[in-house]
Amino acid sequence: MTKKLTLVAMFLGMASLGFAQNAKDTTSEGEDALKQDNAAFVFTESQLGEDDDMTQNVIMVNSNNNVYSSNVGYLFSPARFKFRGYNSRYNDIYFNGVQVNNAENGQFNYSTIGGMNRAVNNHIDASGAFETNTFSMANIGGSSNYEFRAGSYAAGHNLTLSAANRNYTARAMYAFGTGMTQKGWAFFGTVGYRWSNMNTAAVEGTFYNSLSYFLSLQKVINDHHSLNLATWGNPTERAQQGASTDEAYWLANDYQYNPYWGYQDGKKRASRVVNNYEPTAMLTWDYKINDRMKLTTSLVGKYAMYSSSKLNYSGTNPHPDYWKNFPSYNYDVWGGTGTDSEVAAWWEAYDFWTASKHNRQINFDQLYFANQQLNASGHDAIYYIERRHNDHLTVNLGSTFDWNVNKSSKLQLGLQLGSNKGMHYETMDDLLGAKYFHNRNTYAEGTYADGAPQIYYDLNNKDGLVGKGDRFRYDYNLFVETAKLWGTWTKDYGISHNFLTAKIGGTEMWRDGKMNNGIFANYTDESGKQINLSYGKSEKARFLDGGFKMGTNLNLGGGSALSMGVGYEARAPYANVAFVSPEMNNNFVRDLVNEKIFSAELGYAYTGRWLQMNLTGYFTHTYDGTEWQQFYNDNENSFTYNSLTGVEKNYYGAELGMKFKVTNNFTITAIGTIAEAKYASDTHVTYMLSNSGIEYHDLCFNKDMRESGTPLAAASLGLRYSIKGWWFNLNGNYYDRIYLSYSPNMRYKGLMSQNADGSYTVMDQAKSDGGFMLDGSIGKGFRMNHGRYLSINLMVTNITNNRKLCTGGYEQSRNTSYTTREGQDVNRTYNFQRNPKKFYAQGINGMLNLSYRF
Amino acid sequence: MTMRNYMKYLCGLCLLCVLCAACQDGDWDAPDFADGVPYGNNALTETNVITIAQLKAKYPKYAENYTTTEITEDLQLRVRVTGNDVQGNLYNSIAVQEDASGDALIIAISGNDLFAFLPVGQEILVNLKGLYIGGYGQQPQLGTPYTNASGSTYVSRMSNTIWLSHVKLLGTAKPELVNDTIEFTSACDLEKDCGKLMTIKGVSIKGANGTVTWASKDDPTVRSNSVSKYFAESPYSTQSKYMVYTSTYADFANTPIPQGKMNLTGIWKRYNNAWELVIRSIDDIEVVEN
Repeated sequence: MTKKLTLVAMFLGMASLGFAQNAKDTTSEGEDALKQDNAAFVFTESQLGEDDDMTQNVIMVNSNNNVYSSNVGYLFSPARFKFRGYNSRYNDIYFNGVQVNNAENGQFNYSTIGGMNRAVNNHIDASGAFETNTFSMANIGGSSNYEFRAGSYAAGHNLTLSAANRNYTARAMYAFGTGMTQKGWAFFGTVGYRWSNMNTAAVEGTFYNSLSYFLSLQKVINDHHSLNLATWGNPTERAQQGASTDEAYWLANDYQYNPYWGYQDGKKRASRVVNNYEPTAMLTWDYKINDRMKLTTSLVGKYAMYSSSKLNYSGTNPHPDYWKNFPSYNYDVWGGTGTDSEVAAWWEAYDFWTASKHNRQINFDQLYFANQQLNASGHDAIYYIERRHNDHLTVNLGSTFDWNVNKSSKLQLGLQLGSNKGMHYETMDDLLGAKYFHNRNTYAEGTYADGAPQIYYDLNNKDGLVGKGDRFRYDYNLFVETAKLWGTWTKDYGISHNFLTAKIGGTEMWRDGKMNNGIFANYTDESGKQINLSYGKSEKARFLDGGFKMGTNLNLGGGSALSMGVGYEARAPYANVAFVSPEMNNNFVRDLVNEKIFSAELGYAYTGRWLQMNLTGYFTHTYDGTEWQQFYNDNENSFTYNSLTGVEKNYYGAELGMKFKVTNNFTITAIGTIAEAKYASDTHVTYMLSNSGIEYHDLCFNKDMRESGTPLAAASLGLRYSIKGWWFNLNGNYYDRIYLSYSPNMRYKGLMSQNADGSYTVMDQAKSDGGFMLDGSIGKGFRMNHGRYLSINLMVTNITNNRKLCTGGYEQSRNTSYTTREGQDVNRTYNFQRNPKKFYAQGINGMLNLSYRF
Repeated sequence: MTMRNYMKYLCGLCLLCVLCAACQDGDWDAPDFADGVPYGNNALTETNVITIAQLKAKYPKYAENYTTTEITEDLQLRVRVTGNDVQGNLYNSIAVQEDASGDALIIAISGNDLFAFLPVGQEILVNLKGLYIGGYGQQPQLGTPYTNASGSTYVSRMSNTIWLSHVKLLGTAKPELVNDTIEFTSACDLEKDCGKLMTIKGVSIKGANGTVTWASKDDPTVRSNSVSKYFAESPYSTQSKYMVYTSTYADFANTPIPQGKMNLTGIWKRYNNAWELVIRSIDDIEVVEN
């Protein structure tokens, strides 16, 4: 019996070794839940990128050693804050020691662990860029390891009920854990459901429908071995919100105006709906070799099913905020000298927009009518809802050998292996009343002769009819195989704690096309060799990468410490940027090489009786990077695939965090950052138009363009008071220097006019004005008999209801001028540069939580 | 309760949640249009319908360049669509014709897929009050005024919002009622017949060699968004008077021009003192002799 208890305690300690490294803050249980809710509110929804399944800007740094980084994640999340302006691919996520970032783009989709708060709250071990951990060489945006062993969860039941006016309206979560039993078994499970419909969600025209579950079972076999099997998933269906222009927000008198929904037969219908379910299973083997050595190995398998629908068209854009529908299409109120008829047309459009909500949403009835008319006259549908699928079959293995060499030295060695098959294809979701649709490249019609092979998306099924659920337009698989070895050596000398960490790895990737695209049709060359331009397997690209980091932490005495670190690494490009146009062909981007990253950090920390303070300065330089994006190019009436190579960026700034313990019950926390994250030079660009398949090479004048969708300057002052089970928090947050995503093709040298002196005038990057937001929370915990605990929390965000805080968006990719029949360049009345698409922060919103532990 | 039972209940709860979490975005039924089609202004009624000839008589500057005349009276036209943007050649406009008189007119509208709502054969009622009439290259057309960079004002495409408030669809499209048998000859009257759907027979295009296309964007000689081709046969070979207009955005722009004799159907527009044939779609090209 005693032996068993000892055994259990030993394994629990082993499993949670990482947590011991970062002292837990002294917030209450209820407050922790609030923080997670606040973070989850943003992580799961608002930060999702346009047409993307990844959280673009989420880095959940939660190192409790640092006042700044332990607070920044949830305090600034309403403004979509990106830690240091980094893309989230610079933040590594691990589950029980195995890396789970998406192999194709390096990012982690936090929404896949949403709704299972009890499974993830307080089960994360995060380390900053120059902090050591037990599972990796930390990425420049930090690394986090989630602990999913059943034995690490407390025994008991927990029921949480929530109401919110956010993405979801209601939430219920139940969790149960046995704790480690005397027989060496432990079980933990949680199930949750989050819900809103088109009438209750905070953003009209969206809904949220998400179930989540998490089950973990652990068996401690003997003194040396323990096994844990965990499985989780959260099938989710949710409607998306679209960005729009200030003119649209003004006309709708609503900063949350959403152009992505409309009416069909009088009922609300969303045009963009995401379905996501990523069932995952993980087996973990903990092997305690002896008192100083242990080996942790996890194998995780996942089948991710992600798809997002989109209203598409081959005629006029049916979205209500199409530029030709705006009053400003007719007359420029900011400087136009409009004729009477232009002013009248302006009013006509204004009256139309403001007369009825129906007029400023998608008219699905009209789309059905058009399709039915077209089919009646033998034409294909021109309006349809397509569904883009990004499915993944992933198997990852992570193994870490941990050796406490002696009192002052530690060694960790690790292996990470990954295999990923990404399945990318498009299906027909709804033909909107039509019966006919052919798998033709309508963008290429006009570029090529009528009936030419180039206008067919798949020559192997030429001109095939497309019905509901059928694949069309593109269908391909991406394969990525990775292997990585890493090691960390830590050594204490006197007042210094030092570390050296390094990694080396290999990556192999290829594409396997399932459609023989007419523009890139396969052929046999003169030597008889089959050339797979689009159908079948591409060549394989292989990359050898690696790097190192070293740092020291000097204990200066008196509570002061100085830390410094420096690192350099080469990192293989991700598959999502490696191909010129993965939807169309097998071609790799030219000059595809490893990205290089130099990073350095200097920090000062003070921990006194009444003050804890951190001041950090950092500098990161990246070069030889590759970026890729696709968008619809209105100028060319075509999709454009853009590859930026040789990308060079600088990230630098200062971060300050201070926590004043005024009394035992009252603390004041102040954090702030001033950062820069921008391109260090202009960049070579290769772009290809989907209507011709021709690649163009140019220079993109993107030097000094900033990372978008995040405040690059932010400050917060927070007050926290607690007494007799009550706690009160009030935080005033100020955000500034928020840039919108720049449009590369508006800055291509070859498409710009040259000034008389030979220079080029590059348009300024669109920017938000920033603003202030006041957030607060109040809670009360009730301790009852038999360890039962009830807590009630109310969190209110944006108490001052500042709805004019633009949190991000993007510039429109279209020229303001056009060419007339006579060959003259003429400026349009509508100015695209003055009308970027934006997102605004939600006004006052809140969440009420009732949590009962029994 | 044993752990096994707890697990059983938790799994049951999961299953219950799965069953309860019904899909919100299911299949949608097609809307019912019995009470009116979702296009145009269904409130319009035929109160004062006039003919195109009467309209021209009321507004004698209907074909003058750089002249815009607002129609202030409560007048209506009842016309049938003869040409649209089905393959992108007739850009931002439709051609309409009266069944009885055969008189034609161009209506300029800012919209790219007009053919989806206004197929050939669709009869429409157009409320003229508030619209403008004038000439573009002396081709009479309805629309709203537009002032170009040079300061010249002429009737151009109206916003889709304005158009939708001025049009009503009358029944379903009846392409069989469109008169497509009118033959274009040199005897056609530029003033009276412009805008009509007509067919020129037995002609070929100068320079057609099997590879030359109607309007390739890749052609370095093309400096604007359209290309004019000329007939090989007299009397239509007079370049200043007859041409075939093709937009570089037309779906058939890169289709080679047949070398032999053809019957070409389309909207014959006026461009000042010249005839300009605008082919609506590749189906308007009938090769009669290779």
